[in-house]
Amino acid sequence: MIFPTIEFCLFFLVVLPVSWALMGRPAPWKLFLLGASYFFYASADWKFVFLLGGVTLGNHLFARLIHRSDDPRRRKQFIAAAVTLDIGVLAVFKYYGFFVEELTGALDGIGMGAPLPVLQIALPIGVSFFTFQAISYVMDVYRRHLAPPSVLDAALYISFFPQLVAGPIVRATEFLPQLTRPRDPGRVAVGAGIMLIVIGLVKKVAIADTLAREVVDPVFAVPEAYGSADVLLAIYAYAAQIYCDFSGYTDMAIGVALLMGLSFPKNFDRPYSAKSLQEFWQRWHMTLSRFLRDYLYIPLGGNRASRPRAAVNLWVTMVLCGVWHGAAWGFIVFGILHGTFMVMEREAKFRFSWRPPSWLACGFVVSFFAFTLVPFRTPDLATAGAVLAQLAQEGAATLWNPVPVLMVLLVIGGQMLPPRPIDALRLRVANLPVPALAGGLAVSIMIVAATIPSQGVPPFIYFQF
Amino acid sequence: MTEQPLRPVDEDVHVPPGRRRTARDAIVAVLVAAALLVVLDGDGIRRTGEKMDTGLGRSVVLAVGHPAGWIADQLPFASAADQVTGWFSPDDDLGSADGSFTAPTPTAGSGGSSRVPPQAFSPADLGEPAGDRKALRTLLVTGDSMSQPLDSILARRLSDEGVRTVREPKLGTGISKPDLLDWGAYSGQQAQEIAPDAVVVFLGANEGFPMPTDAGTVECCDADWAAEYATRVRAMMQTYTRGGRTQVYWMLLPISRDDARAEIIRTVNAAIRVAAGPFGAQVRLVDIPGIFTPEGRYRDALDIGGREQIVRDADGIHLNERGGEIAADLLERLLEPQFVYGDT
Repeated sequence: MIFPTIEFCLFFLVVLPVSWALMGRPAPWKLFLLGASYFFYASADWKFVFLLGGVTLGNHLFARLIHRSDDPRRRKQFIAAAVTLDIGVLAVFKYYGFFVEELTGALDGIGMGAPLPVLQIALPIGVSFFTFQAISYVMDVYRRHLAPPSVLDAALYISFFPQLVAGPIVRATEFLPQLTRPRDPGRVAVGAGIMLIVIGLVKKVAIADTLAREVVDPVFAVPEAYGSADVLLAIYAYAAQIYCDFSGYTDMAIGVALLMGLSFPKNFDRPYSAKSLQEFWQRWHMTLSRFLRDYLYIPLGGNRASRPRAAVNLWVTMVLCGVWHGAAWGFIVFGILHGTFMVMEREAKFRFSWRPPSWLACGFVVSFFAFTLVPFRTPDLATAGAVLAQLAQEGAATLWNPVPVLMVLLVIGGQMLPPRPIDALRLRVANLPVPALAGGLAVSIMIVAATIPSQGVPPFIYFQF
Repeated sequence: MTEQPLRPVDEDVHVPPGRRRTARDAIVAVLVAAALLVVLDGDGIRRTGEKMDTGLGRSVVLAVGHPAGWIADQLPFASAADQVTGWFSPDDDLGSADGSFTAPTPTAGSGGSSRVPPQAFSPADLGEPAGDRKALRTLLVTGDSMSQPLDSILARRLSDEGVRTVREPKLGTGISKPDLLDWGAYSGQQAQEIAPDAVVVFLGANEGFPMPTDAGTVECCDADWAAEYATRVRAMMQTYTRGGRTQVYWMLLPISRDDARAEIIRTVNAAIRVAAGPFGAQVRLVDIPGIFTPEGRYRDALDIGGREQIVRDADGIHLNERGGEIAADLLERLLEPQFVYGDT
């Protein structure tokens, strides 16, 4: 069940009123939301419901043990065990096949056999997101920012359906207080919620899927069939597509939660307006960036250490950011490129007082990101090389049609415009009367639905992570 | 990265600016939007439900879609809305209106189904020396999601050889579910419009649906179901061969990890084998299961050059990039004795 489908609409039409009807009685309300969230997850594959439940119970058990213990050594052992459990789940389901295959290749090279069976394990949808939320939960308990809540609250925090499969990665300290105090039925951000749902739908279905269908997928499937102009368009179109696909999902997730009286942190803030890579990562997948900052970069020593050590910390963090996306050399290369360039960028700031003009810095960041997405998008590094090699090949611009070109300009260029008029417009729309909001939602869904191809809505890109 | 200490966060800090309303307003807005959608696009809900795979989701969507469609049919708004939004549609609706499989009309020169053309016999079958190889100018690679990534691997390999590779993957479709895409009609359209020299068909990941026949509806996966499936496959083979002008390569399916799906795949493969019989050399079956799932047992990895490598996707159904490469190698070995690439 994904957001832009009739199944989800029907699901939400039941969940929304029942959730508000039960809001006054916390236990039934939370039980209902937990049941709805597990139903939502089971609709993708019921077998992985047990994994979700297991991760929840395991982390909750460790959270309680950590909380009860005053012995720093024991607490450390418990947190290490909890994080090992979560990373272990990721390692088995996400990285096992890649790791064993590469290890076997390396050992074969020195005449040794395969130490482990080479298996391709089914990837549970959203595993990277809910394990990170679980880590956030036990870490916050370990840091004494949070006392373990009831098992019901912990389970609902990890599995709450709007953010379960593709984020945003919400901190326990942000979500759990919302469960302990009843939501105020007189203070619901209805306009903002509906507007975010509409914006998310347009981004995903009308823009991201169109760019994929018209430009990105054909070029990345057979790059040899296209000349430099088409390949260049496809590289920037993919940057626009992945932004609309992922931010569209989180817009819808945030909008759905708002209508239920709950709020999530923002996950994107005009990333293509960034003037440095550091700023870019403060605007792109913001909840992952802050997770990596708070639970990896700072524990490694952050920038309080010496300059060389801080550079290593940053590089390691960015490489692991790449690896988080999946088990493939393309993601590792993506992380290495970003880590290396961010270290260079930081060094340049220390050494030189010159700063490039905004337009140049902005253009560079967008282009750097778009080109580093090539190994991210292709199935292997050889194909990434083939895509980049085609940039030197002449050929007719067969894909430069007005619709995809305008979409790329609108998505990337639009973020570079001053935000104030757009924010003002959003506020005006959010403040429209309820009948206008309802009419706008219906008409938007109808128009967006008309752009869906006969084979349905393709899955969100970040579902595979 | 800038360092900031963690601290408990005010839960309302993330709520966007704008007027606050009541929970009742939220419910009313969503229900009114749903009601408007029923009036303006109720038929769309019904059509979507009809195209969905059998199961709880389909039953629920149809339970809403039928009355919604009925309401929309009684009012003039839905057709007006269809006209307004119709031009946004990115493709033609290729599904069968009544859910039936359209037996393709034989293309010119293809003859009737009982007529065996001489192309059914290869020179090797008759103990004759190999004849001249034909030119492969256009290759069509089609099917459901199984045809990926094979289609792009073949297209990339043949792009420098002067071969135009047309890739037409139709994801989520199946021969037994013509609601979504009627392969009977669509294969005829492909054969006529593309007129390929060779066709690669890799189709069958989404089969197992009940099929109506003259004797009633048949359920997967007994002999009646297999017979109907084979009849449909045979009709498509007849279409694609274009009276001997097109060489068809029909890929048998590798067994899946999931046992229930594996049973369907075994039946589909058996039906394809039966369907291909009369075509002889015109339709070559590509023994994918023999390579990827020898002895009918699912495997994630194969020994390639003395090293175990993963060849299947995480879903246990599709071939991954490496698996696609192996399938493409096999196809190239079949294409090379029969064709000269491009015009040369």
